[in-house]
Amino acid sequence: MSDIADIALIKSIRTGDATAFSQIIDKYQHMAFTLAISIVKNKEEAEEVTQDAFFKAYRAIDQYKGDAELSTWLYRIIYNTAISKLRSRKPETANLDSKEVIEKDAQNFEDNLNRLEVQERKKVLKKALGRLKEEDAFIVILHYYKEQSIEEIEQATGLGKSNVKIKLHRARKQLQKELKLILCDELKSFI
Amino acid sequence: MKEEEANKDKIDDRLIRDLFNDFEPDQAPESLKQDTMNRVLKDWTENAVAYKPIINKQNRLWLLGGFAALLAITFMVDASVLIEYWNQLNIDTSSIDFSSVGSGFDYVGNVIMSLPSILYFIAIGILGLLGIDHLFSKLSNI
Repeated sequence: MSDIADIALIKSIRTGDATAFSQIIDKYQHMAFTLAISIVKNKEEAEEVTQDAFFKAYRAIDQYKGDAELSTWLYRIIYNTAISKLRSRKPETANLDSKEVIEKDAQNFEDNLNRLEVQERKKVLKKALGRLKEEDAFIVILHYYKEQSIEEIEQATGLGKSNVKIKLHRARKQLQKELKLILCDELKSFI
Repeated sequence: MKEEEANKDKIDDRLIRDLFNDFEPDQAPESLKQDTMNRVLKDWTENAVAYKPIINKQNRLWLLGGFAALLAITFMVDASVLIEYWNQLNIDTSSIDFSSVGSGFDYVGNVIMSLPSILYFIAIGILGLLGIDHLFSKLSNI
């Protein structure tokens, strides 16, 4: 169920008070933008996707039944809009799957992470998330930052339970791999 | 071997969870809200006068279903059934004086018949409008 404030806003919008929608944007814009970036991987397109998603949400507000959180419903629209945006892109000559990933063994990975200042940790994490596959980054953010359950992620993405689990497992491995690579580079830059 | 893998997964999970404690979402550009609201308000002004049915498809089905059920019940429990049921009760009505009730009904009947028919139409119209208004205001809150 959605929270009471959200329900009140939705009622206002449905009765014709379109300005109430600005409060929904205020509440969810940063998370929506972050999730859009996790898929499209650049800020300009992410802004476009977020804007389109919010507008779609406004137009479909009558279809929101309230059986899931409003945030989950919005994330689903962001997910679908971002995926459509990706599909509309021209195929790139190189992608993350095909690029050759050089395996570097980072010793004491956890220690290295702990040595970093908070700001650096944030930077490293964002960089690593940026290197993940589109859907994987989206799922990781929902799971680890928004602390959403597998069932909620199912609702937000439309993917099946086992699919979400597999993607989450794969994303965790990949994220760790990317973190190791980034940390190695960071350490090298210090030397 | 499987246990080792599961342990490793747990450690990875904890590590990433810890890392996400410092995570902050990206700040959406200021233009995002402004541009989105411009689109929303443009759409709102374009569609403000458009007819929006208060009774949506789903509610319409419920209403039709309810009406059909009501009709069915009315047919099943019509007056003849009720009279038959009353007769089966075998209640002695000889001690009740129905003549005053009958004359009372006659009087009311004569008064009603003397009223011009236009009054009936007006009354039915007013009641109908009130009923529809009440129904629509209920449905708009669904």
